[in-house]
Amino acid sequence: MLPLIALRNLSRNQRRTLLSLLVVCVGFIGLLLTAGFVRASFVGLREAVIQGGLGHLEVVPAADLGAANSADRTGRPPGFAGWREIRDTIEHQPHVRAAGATIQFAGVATNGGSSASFVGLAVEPDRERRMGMAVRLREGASLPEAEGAGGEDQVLLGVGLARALGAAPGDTIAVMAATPDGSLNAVDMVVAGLFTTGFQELDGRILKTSVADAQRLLGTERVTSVIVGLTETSTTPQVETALRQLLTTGPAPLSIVTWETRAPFYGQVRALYGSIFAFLGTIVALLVALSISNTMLMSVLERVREFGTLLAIGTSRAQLAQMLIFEALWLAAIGALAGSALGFGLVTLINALHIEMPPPPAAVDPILLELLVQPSDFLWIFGAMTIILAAAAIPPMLRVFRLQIVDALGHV
Amino acid sequence: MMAGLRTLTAILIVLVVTRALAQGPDELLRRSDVGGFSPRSFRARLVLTSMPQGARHEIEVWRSGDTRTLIRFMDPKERGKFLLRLDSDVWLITPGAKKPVHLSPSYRLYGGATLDEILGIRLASAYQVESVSTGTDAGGALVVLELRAKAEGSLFPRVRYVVRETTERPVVATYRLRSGRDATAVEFLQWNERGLVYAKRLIVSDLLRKGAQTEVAILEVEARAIPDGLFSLTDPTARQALP
Amino acid sequence: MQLAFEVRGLAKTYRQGTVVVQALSGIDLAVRSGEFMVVAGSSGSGKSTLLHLLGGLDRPDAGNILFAGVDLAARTEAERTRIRRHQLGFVFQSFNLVPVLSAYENVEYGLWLGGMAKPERRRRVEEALDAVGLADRMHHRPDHLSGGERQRVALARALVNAPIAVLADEPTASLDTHTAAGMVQLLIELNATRGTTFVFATHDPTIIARAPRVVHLSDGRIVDEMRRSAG
Repeated sequence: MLPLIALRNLSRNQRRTLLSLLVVCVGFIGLLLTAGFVRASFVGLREAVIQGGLGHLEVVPAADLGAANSADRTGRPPGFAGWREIRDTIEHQPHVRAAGATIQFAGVATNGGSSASFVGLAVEPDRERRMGMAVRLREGASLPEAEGAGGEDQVLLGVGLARALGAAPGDTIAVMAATPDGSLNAVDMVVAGLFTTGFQELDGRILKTSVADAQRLLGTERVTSVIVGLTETSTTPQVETALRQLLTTGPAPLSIVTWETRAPFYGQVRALYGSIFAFLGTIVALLVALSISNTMLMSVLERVREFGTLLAIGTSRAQLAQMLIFEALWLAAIGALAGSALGFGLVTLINALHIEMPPPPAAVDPILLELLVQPSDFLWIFGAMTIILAAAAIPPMLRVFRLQIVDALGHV
Repeated sequence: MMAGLRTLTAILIVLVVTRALAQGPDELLRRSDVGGFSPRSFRARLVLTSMPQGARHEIEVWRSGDTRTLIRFMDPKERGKFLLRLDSDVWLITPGAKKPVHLSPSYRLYGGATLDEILGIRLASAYQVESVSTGTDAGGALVVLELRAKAEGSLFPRVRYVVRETTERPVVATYRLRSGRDATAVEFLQWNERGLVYAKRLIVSDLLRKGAQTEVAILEVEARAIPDGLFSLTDPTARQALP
Repeated sequence: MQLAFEVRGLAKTYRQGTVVVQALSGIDLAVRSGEFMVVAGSSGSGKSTLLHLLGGLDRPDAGNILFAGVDLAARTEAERTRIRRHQLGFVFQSFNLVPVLSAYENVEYGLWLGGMAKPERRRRVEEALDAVGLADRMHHRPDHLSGGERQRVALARALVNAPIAVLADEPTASLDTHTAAGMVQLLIELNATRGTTFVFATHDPTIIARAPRVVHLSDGRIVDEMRRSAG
């Protein structure tokens, strides 16, 4: 009966109840949108990091990890030779979409008059595509996919590097790099296209070519690592364990590195966003709690004589307190229900509008405002609202506990 | 007795150094300059050993006058690759690139030593003696010449040049950066005294990277005229015809 | 004869700002079970205070109140709440119904507090509302009932638990003369048919004139007492 009375009590002052519901509803929507934005940012950043070339996992010789320079490797050239076999083994594992070799190198590119130093990344273009790593081409064409297709060696240049070299698609540039044994080599490469990494600074330095072409330049059969792309990011730990069992023993043990380890900034961004969200959440919770508490207190003051009567006819103070809690819970439930419906509509609308936000510092492209809301968000925000409103009911409850029946009955 | 011996030794050193310097420090620099020993045109075979990896690389040097040098890489993997130096410009010529690729003159062969460090800077022409002091080591009396570059903007404005008094051969040349920091030390370990005089074995230490050393062994030096075609930037025919 | 209330040496003072008001002093009173007693007196004579003390809504400064043999002043609040819930009924001047509940629900509330099963509650509520003549208005909310109807709902609420005693503080003060007379008649009938003890605080001469026993209060003291023989 108390829940019924509590629900009907909300209908007494409809304007005030509507205002309270609005507060709960707006608070709910605020938390929902923020949670959706934060999750979309996390997922977006995670996938951008993975699709941007990091892959879900990287397989590297254990000896290369922590070796800051060639001197640390005591004369052994970096990377590993039997990579094709390893790559094919990895590709036969469950949840693996594809695996591809990479070579990281550095050197100087020159276009006759001007030259510029670069950081080089060699990939297997066909496997990179299968892993879902799309090259953001700005001009020209991608690298040819067929390995050993013959013809001229081809490169993609970061837009900034191309600008520094004055190179355009179709131009031939000389690419020079130190080989693993310390000598210098240079080869002519045709600029297939210009691309962006999304980061201005990197665009000014990056050069991308195929593993085969890089191996010709560097005079080596070795590769730096094998990148593994999975069907689902969530399977990363599972595949990591499987690969660890498969590859980390033997005479030349390999290490498996997850994308999270390779992108420590992801964790930092997560922590930063997490604390911003917690801060905003606390403010929303405080505003909702204070507002509802104040409204409920007003409502209690208006009903002092009624509470006196209820106490006189045998209602315990605990039962009155329960009634107030029920009132708060009804507000939470109805407000959250309205918030869920409106919030869902708003999320759908915002996602449909494809709103662009200005690019963050050092980035090239604007960011699409996206909200990623999960069913669990509705549940936990509802839970949070319930707790916040229950807390808001505490001051009015204390007021009821202090009531003197005789005074209350005489209250006008 | 011991005091007497020490006094005698000191007197002898002073006498010897005084004799060496009697002709002037600049003259000592000229006579000891390792570059000065080489003929104007020569072909030489060198083996460079990078430390601590111990990787050996053989190169062939073709030099004509002070301004033109061609380095031919002799390792099977590096056949067809050349380093061409014309005045202060250094070019890399590889079979993979149609045109020579311009390099910095401070480019280090196999990451270890620059061409100047291997072939010797013409110290006598590029530097002048600023101050002289003396010293000794296990091999005897030394003359220490502090040199200053004649040209403005030289990569190494100062060189500490230590010459063995008795042989007038350099012992060690330490190249200093504008900041005063020691950048490279070249130690002359062995000399060819029969026929052409040249340092047969030297060690180039990169003092900016601890432990990075290149040992240079000069296997042979042949004084001869070098065809101009070898130094052509545009026409590779003469280089391709090399045996 | 069993006593519903037995009051000895009852005293109660209130503090109004700096002034101490002697609301009751030296009250000795015995109310028999099934008795219909009116506490009469002018405003401020101590009627309401006496009723509050009899109902266990407040504690006396001195004296004892035995209700059905139980000393109310010696009980905890929880115990007094239970006594009020099961053994006492209250009727207030301003009806004091819960505005968001229907007549039926207002009456049912006390039974629900007592933990009674729903079918039994229904039977009792319908019977109580029938007894006050409101069977056909039971699903109306108080704001859709007249003053007399509201007070009859309040009466039904007080009676539905079959309490030992009903305490009514000025129950006809908010009613017109005609309705008040009907109300008094109803109270007398219920007292006669159910044997419930009724204690009324009033200055309504209609009730005073028809009450079998009238205790007059003035300045917190019993100044007169009058008994009429039944009939």
